Order: sequence, then C-alpha cells, then structure tokens
Amino acid sequence: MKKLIFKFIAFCVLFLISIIVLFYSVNNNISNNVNFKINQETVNVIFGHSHPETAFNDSLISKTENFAKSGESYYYMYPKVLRIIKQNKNVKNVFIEFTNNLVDESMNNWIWGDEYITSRYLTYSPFISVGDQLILLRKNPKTYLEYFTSSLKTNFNRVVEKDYVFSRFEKFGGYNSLKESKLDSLIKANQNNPIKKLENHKISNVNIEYLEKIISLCKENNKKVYLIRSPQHSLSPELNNEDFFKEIILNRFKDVDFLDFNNFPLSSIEYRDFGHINHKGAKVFSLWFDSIIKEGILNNRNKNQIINEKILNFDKKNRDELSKLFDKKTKENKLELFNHIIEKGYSLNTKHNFSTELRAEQMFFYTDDKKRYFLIEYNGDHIHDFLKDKTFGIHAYAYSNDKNKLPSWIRNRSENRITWNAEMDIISNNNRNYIILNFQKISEINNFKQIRIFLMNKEKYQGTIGNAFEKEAPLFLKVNGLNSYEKNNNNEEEDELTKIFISAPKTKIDHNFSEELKVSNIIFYSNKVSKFIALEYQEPYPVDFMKDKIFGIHGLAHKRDLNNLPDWVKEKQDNKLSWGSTPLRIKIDDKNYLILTLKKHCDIDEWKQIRVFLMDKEVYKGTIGEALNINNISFK
Amino acid sequence: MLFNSIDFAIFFPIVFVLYWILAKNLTYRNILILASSYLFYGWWDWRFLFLIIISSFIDFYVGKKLFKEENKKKRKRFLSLSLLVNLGFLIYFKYTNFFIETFVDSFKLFGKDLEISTLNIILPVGISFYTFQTLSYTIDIYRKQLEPTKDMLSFFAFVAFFPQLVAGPIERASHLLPQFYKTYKFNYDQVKSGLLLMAFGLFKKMVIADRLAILVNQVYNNPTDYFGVEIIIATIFFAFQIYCDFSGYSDIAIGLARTMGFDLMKNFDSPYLSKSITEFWRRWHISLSTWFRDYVYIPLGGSRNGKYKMYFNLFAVFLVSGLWHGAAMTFIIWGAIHGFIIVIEKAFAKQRKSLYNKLKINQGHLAHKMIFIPMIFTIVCFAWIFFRANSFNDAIVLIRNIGVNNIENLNNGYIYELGLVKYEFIISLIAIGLLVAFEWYHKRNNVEEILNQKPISLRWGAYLGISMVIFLFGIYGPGEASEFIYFQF
Repeated sequence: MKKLIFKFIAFCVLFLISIIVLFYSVNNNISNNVNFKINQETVNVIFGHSHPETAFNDSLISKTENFAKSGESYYYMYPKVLRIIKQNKNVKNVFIEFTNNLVDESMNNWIWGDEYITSRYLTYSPFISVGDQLILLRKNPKTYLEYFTSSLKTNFNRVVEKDYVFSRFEKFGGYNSLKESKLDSLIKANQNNPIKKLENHKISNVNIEYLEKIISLCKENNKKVYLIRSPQHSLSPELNNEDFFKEIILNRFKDVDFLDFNNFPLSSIEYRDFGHINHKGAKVFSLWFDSIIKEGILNNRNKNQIINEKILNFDKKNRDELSKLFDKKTKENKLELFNHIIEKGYSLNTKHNFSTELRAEQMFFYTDDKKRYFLIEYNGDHIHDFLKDKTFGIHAYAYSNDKNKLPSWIRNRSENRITWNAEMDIISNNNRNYIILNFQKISEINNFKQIRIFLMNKEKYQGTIGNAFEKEAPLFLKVNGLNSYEKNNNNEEEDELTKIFISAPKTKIDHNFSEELKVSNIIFYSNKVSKFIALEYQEPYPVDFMKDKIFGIHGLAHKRDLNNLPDWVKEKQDNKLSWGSTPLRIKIDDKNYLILTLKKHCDIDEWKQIRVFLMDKEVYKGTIGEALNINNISFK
Repeated sequence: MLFNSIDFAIFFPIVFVLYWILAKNLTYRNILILASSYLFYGWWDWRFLFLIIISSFIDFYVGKKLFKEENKKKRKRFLSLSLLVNLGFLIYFKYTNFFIETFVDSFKLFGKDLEISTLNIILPVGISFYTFQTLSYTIDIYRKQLEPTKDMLSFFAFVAFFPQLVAGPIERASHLLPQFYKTYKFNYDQVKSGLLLMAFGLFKKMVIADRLAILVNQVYNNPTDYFGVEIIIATIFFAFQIYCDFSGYSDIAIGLARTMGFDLMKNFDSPYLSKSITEFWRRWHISLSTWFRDYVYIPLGGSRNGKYKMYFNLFAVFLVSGLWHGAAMTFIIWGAIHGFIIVIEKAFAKQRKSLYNKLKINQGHLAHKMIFIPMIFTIVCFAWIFFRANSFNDAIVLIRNIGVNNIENLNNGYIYELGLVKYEFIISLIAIGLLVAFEWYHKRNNVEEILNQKPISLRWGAYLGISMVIFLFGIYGPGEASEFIYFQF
C-alpha cells in the first residue's frame, strides 16, 4: 500500500508538472500571437462594465474606442488593458469606469463567482498570469478547476489549429446600443416596493487592488489615466453607498483624475434602467463628451469643476446644438462609410430584384471592426414609402470549421446560422440612390458559406417579402487589428494560395490599361484548381470606371501543347484560349492588387503569350483602352 | 455518479483508501461496499434506491425458502414471487409506455383512435442489469445449482456492487457472491493492473466514444438531411462509439473491482474482429449473451428438440434481447436482424464447412479474415442503423438515403460539416486506428505484460502519455461529458 501511495503521489506530481509546463507554453503561445492592435488613429480608450459599455457611443467620439464589457470586474479588465496599451503606442488616454457598484463587496462574485468564471475565465485564461489565477483557485476551487481543464484543452486546440482570432464583440467588449426604455416602469415599481438602503457597506479589496494595478500599469507605460463615472439615474439604488464610494476615492485614488458624469442631465426616455442609458442617451452624452474632449478638458487643471459647471449649465440650447452636430456627424459618417464601402468593399457585380419596387443594380459587402454592411444601389421611386413598414433580414451560414468562432448561443445549435434584422439608411450620392444595411458583427467570421438577404415585415417576421438574395461564399473585407484575419490559418486553401502568391516572381510592367487604371507589376501563379493573374495597381481604384467592366484574358499556347488543350476549347486547331474575369481587390503588405482568376480549367502552365485587356461586362464589344501583352509566361 | 465525472474522481480515492484500511474486517469492509454503492447510485436519484433494496430483500428471502422447500409447487410459487417482483419492476418502469403506444397504434390500424396518453415514468438507471443479476441468483437456487447465502450483508453488497451496478457486466451469483465472503490482501500489481484498465476504459469513452457521438448525433437526429457517405460514416462511427462507450464502461468496472481485489467477468473480446455473427455474440456483451443462453435459450429447449425448434428458440432469444435493450420497435428489429443471420448461419453451417473442406479454405488464414471480418462488420453496422435511429421511420429514411451516391463529399470537405471539424475528424480517425491496432496486437501479445518488462522511464512515459491524451483530447467538462449509452437500458 505504501509503495502504491508513494508511486501514486509521484505520478500525480509528474502529471501536475506536465500540466503546468503545458499551461505555461500554451498560454504564452496564445498571448504572443493574439493581435490586440486597434485603429492607429485611436488616442482614447474606455474600459469598464455595462455602464460605459452603453454610454459611450464611440462612433460619435473622435479618436476613441470603447472596450467596456458588461459584468467586467477590474480583475478581468487588467490583462485586456495590459495588452491593448502595450501593443498600441498611439493610445494616450485611458478612461476607466469607477462607479458605486464597482467598489462594493459584491464585486468579489464578479471575479470568482461561478457565473463569472464560466463566462470570463474561458476568454481571458491565456492572458491571466499564474499568480492572478491562484486567486480564483483559492476562492472557488471547484469551478476554477473545472474550467481550468476546459480552458487548457480549448487553448491547446487553438495552438494546434493556430487559431488566434478572438472575437472582439463577443469577448473584448465594445459599445452596446440599448434600444428600449424601462425606466418609468422601474420607478413605479420602486415607489410601490422601495429597495431597502444598506447601512453597512463593505469593499471588494481584490477588485480595488486590480484597479490600482491597472493605474500603475498605465503610468508605467506613460498613459494618462482617468477614472470616470458614467451617468446614472438619481433614483439608482446603487447610489446608496455614495458616501462610502467618495471615501474610497479620497483614501485610495486622490492622485488620479476622477471625471464624474453621474449627474449628466438626461430625461427618463434616455435611460434604459437606473444604471444604463439607452442609445438616445448615449447619443447626447457621447457627443457632449466628444465636445469637452475637443475643448481640451483633459489639459485643464480644474477638470471636475468645469465638468460640474458644464453639466449644471447644460440646457435645451446645448441639446439642440448637439442634435445638429449629431445630424451633421451622422451625415458625415454615412458619407465616409459609403465611400469606404465603395472603395474597399467586395463588389458583387450582380443585379437582383428584391421586389418589383426594389431592384438592386449593384451590391457590396463590407465590414469594419464592429459592424457588417451591405450596400445596395437601387433603382426605384417611392422607396421610402415602400420600405417604411419593412426591414431587411439577414441569414449568414457559417462553415462548420468556423463553428468555434460563432457566439456561444449559436454554437450549440445544429445549424451554424447567424440571424440579424438590419438597421437601414437610405442615402443619395451623385444622383444615385443607395440603401446601407448594417448589422452587429457578433462573430469574426469573414467568409461565410452562404448569406441570404431578404425583405420582411418590420414588426414581426411573417415570411420573406419578394425575392431573397442568396450568395454562396460571400467575402467580407478583411480588417486589421483586434479582428485580424492576417494570422488566421483556418482557411488552409486561402493560406496556401497566399503563400504561392508571395513566392511567385513579380514582373515590372508599368502599364496603363486606361487613364484611370495604371498597373506597375504583374504576377502569374496557380494552384491545383485555377490559374491567377495579380496586377499591382495604384490607388485610387477607379470604382465608377470599373463598375461596368471586366478583364478579358487571351492565352496563346505553344504548338507543343496543342494536344493538351482543355475540352472546353471549341476549335482544337486554334491555340488561343479566352477567359473573362471580374477582378477581386486585395491588399497584401500595403500593396494593392487586382486578382484575376482564370476559372475555366486548363492544365497548360507555360504560354507563348498572355494578353490582358479591359472589356465591357455585359458583352464583348472590343478592347477598352490599351491591352497588355506579355510573352513566354509560366504559371508554375 | 458517472465514472467520467469529477464527483467520481473524488469518490473513488476516498472509498479506495477506506476499503483497504477496513479490508481485514469482512463485516466492516462489506458495510463500506454497500454504503458506497448506495451512495454511488443515490447520487443519480436516491428515490430509486428502494427498488434495489426491495429486490435484494425479496431475493434473499426467496433464496432461503427455495433451498429449504422441497415441495415443487411451493418452490415454483417462491420463484414466481421473485420473477414477479423483479420483472414487474422492469416491465413497469421500462415497458409500460411501449405497451400503451403499441396498443394505441394497433387500434389505429383498424381506423380507431384511442385517447390513451402515456405515463410520465422515469427509467431507473441500471434496472435491466441488476434485475438480471439478482434473478440469476434465485433461478440458480431453484435449479439447485447454487446454495443460498446466509450472509445478508454480502448478498446486498453483491446486488448493489457499485463498479458494475448500473451497466454490468451482469455477474452470476456463483462467481461474484463468494468473493464477498473473503478478505483480500493488498496486491500492488493487481491494483496497478486495475488502474491501467480503468485508464484504457476512460480513453475509449472520453476520447473516442464521446467525440464520435457529436457526428453521429448530428446525422441521426436529422436523417432527412443526410445521404450516402454521410450516413455510412455516421454508422461506422456509431459502431465504434457504442463499442467504446460500452466496453469502456466495462473496462472501468472490471478495473475498479480489480483494484479492490474482486474479479469481474470479461464482457467484450474484440467483437469487430469476428468472422460470423455467432462469433460476434460470443465476443459482444458476453455477460448478457451467456445470461440469455442460460436463462432463456436453454429453458426454451435450446437445441434439444430438433433443428426447427432450435432456430425458433434462437430467433426468440434475439427478439427478447432486442426488447431488453430498449422499449421500441427499432430495438426489436435490431434483435431480429441478428437472430435471422444467426439462424441462417446455423442452418447452413454444415454446407459451409464442407465447402471450406472442398476448397481447402483455412478459416484462420489472413485472406479468410480479410473477407469475412469486413463482411460481418458491414452486417453489424446495418443492424446498428435500427439500434441508433430515433424511430422506425427514421431508420427507413436513413436506409433509403444511404443509396444516394455522393462520394464526392469525401473530397470536397463536406464531411467536416457534420459536426466534427477537420481537426476533430482527424483525431477521431487516429483514435479509432490506434484502438484497432492496439486490440489486434493485444490479442496476440499481452501489452500489460510487455509494458511491465520495460524500464521504468518507458512505463511511466506510457502512463503519463495516456493520462495526457485523456486530459487533452477527452470530451469532458461542464455540459460536454455525456452519459454511457447503456445507462438507458
């Protein structure tokens, strides 16, 4: 028995050491490979829980990104702040929510409570240091060990699969637009059944210690830290520890700027509940916040005094000004977005009748780090009337390989389908009419198996109205940073193709297909299925000019290959083969390329001559502009 | 309590240490076994403990009476009491709803809709297993093949012995009960061997069975959506899933009992390497097959009343075996397929033998195996379709869809759309490959013995390796681990 116990203990120790070594290496690997890069123009970053998550609409605040996440304690915020400020030198100001409930003892539960270990630990485990993890082990060993093993297993699989993509929306936070307003009913309920005020308040020391660690970290990295308090309704039960809260500020954070927006004047319809403002409130508050930042409040010594005065003097006039500013900004944003979509979006080059009233002439997919967009250039009058009681529904079907990138509530379903109701904007530009649909990103998948877009009743889904538009394998534009797909190796075929592309020889040509389209280099490459021609072009891409054109490609085979011509060549004696190709725009290493795919299969790799030219999309009416002829080509 | 749960990982070491502390005192040791067995069972639902206790009481009492009583009529009455109670519980909890549904459906055939609703009955875990085990005790005494025990504690511990309580192996009293009468000395090698067997069982269950279950469930729960190769893959995967699930459980049970000095019977012997269905049933769920042979087939007359009666008996036994597995038409058809093939094999046994002799075919030859092992595996897989399908209609849909030729889906990556992504699919194939290779090799060379002769670094490397494989590739954790399939029977 003694022998067994001795050997069993020895085995357990060995097993434990192996697990710890694995744990270290897996976490290090993920931690070193996950890209926390954000927009390089961003100067201000906001962290916190649900209050700032719903209060700061960062699309309305210049050079600012909101990383607040509902239910997030300082413990889980620490590794996120660490990586974002370390990887983004452009960040100068770090705003951290510091409000009444965040000092309360109940925050302990936000750190090691079952529900929080379940939801947070799985995301943050690779980024939490061993020392910090010991807190969870000490406080809630059963749940911690359960999720420790699950997370180690998940992370190990991530390393094996080289999957370093973490969904920002699902995991690392962002502005959350709340639509509803429940405040009036809550106030009524509160009157009938008032919440008891607590006399003895206790502090969550662990949470506050992590806030102190975050502040030290920011200071060490020369970032300015500001504690902020998002607006709360005066009847909020969380305010009942106000004296206790202020005491903590005085005792522990007196050398940190505290910007208190708690009393920012908002009407009841601008609140969702006592602690959270809805999208209407967020609009007013975010624009106001943007304005005070632009006025240079952060450089002022008496920040709080000025903020208090501004809040006290905030009146209807200010609101109207903000409203105008919002309209202007919205218009600017829409136009900016429109240009982005047209320039960088994935053009479908197809027409579709959604209904007799709505005919799409052109469609584009686009995505940024928060939303996905679908732009429709339409023909049709009275579209406002037609669409007033309708909305667009979107179904996106993910490949099962991407199942682990779907939000958890979808992952467990048998069908890998994400469903949205789109938000819709109708704009005009250069006498053309456009509908821009936008929908929350939810997941980082950019290549879907299929997407289906359809008209439906605004109030309630009662089936598809008219004809749904379906597209196999639509490509949403790739973006950099936290949502990077640059390192995603899941799509092996695409990766392999990129490798081939990078290793293929580049030929300098400096050719003008037309006044509008100039190319400097050409690359010929192929994989097992297709052949490709990449043309390096100079920005700007002539979107309007290219809208109704495609590339034609003629290949002249060597005589020795006459017997190897593919079956689809009608005249076997003719050694000239033709392809048509709609170019796909991509950016690799900061260079812009048009990728022409020669879809019709052909086994010949070496060609006597290749001719590339522009032609009309609908029907060949001869070469447009100057054709490019290159002799002795190899696609190998 | 599941063997693949944290609860059991805490329960087992505590019971193990206490067991060996109390091992010298038979009474204390058996009290510990009984208490821990009831705790193990009650962890799932303590209310159903009363069924085990009632069965134990009745059979202990009936056993004593049967032994003393010489009057045949009275002896039959005592045996009937045991059968009534045990089968009564089994029929009520397992088959009531099936009988109601069949009754209503048969009236529907004549155009009459009966409005009888089924009952909300929970099936107590392991009822089919311990009922058969305790029945064998009274039947053996009735046949005067066994003397009843005077030790009530040992008998209760025998009925509820936690390693094999909920999913077998179904032990005979003559084999297991005497093991409760004696004390055991701690044997290091035996304990090590038991732990190794448990680890192998956990590997089968957690790494293979629960992983394959993801794909199998996807296809079998959506039978109209899948065709050809998808159904073939799902069915082959199910064959390995159910084997790894059930034999994994048996390995853990046998290993667990071995760490305590007990010897449980072998339940599986590489069944997919069988060259006939008759051989398959000598290798698959051996404890159940032998139970049916001894307590159903032989009492029905076995092979004593001519070949046609024998065929009938064989077929009937397999129908009952199907029904034992589940109260549904699909299980009965599964049993019927096996019964039918076995009858065919028996009927043409002589002809086959003489053909082999004429053609000078050696049944042990590799070429013979290469033909017959895949053929029998295919038949077994076909029968598994009925076993796994959620309903008879589903099984028909699956069989109809299996004929669609979509072989191109093997190349275009569509098979990775069935619930297991490419990486998981490859792990599944590697794990199955390793299992088949291991069983093939282990049949010829005892791997455990070979391992014991290796230097300590190699042995410990192997132990650590299997532990890490289970840790990293096992399916477990909150919401992921699944019950053993045979728990539902």
